Amino acid sequence: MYERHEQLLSQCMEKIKKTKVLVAGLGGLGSTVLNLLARTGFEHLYAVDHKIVDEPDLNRQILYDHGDLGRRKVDAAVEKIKKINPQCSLTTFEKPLQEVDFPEIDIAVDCLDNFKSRFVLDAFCQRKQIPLVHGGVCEFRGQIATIIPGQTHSLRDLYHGVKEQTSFQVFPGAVVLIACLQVTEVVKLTCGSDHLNGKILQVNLKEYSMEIF
Amino acid sequence: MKVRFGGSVRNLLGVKELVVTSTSLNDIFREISDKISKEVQLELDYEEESAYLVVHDNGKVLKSWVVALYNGDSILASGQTNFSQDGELSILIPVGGG
Repeated sequence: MYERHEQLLSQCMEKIKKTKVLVAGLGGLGSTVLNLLARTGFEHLYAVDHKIVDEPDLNRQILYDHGDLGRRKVDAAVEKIKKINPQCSLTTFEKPLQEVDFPEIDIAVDCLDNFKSRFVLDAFCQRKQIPLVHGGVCEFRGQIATIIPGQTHSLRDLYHGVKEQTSFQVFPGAVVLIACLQVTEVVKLTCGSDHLNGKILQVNLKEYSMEIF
Repeated sequence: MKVRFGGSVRNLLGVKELVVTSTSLNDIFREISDKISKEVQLELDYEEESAYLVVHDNGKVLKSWVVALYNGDSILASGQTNFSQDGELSILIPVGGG
């Protein structure tokens, strides 16, 4: 199933297949990230989320549909990912992040919806020396950053003084775009290409702007 | 030095980036205020671990938390308030939804 992109990633398709990626949060960002990772060829996926699919989720959480309402997100995700790529193994954890005893992973993707949980994931990645691809989104804006323990600031240090957001409005296209950028960073990390390495990439769909800070 | 504004900060100030000649934090924001004709301050509260951008605009006071980075380092964490002309100061508001 990788015929249409394997030449683009020919140097590292085998690496992609073997890399173990954790997706933390199966909401808007996590839905698209997981979907794209499976289609790209990441065959060892892990996901953590303890919520159920709710109707307001369906505007942006593209892994789910009306038939999934009331189901655990992890269960719906396993079923959908299996249908998308039967080669892909998805191990799920239906617990709050801090309660999960994760196996060995290579890269973690932050698809969480609050900074408190992000800093728990950040601390885990620092302890395990695992790269973290952060993403956040709100309204028409979003940002990603790639944190490499020992090389860049931790997410907590980079975002010193950050506060939780109060707006929960989000443009569906912004969520999918930020998730696509996160997956691109995961591929770059896996393939050893240049990545953001501690910088923040901010995107604003209203202005069509994309800037690195 | 270049001062860049990201996220909704640029909506508050109406500007994307500015070049200033000052090197101390207070002078930088005095210079920014002159350039955009709005009084702008960056308040650093080390005890509360918060940075706030305070904008006085047409009799209204708008206050928003921000992340302030000098060459990618948080100035709230470092306590740095004097900067080199060849550096870059970034004031932004990361968003937190997922």
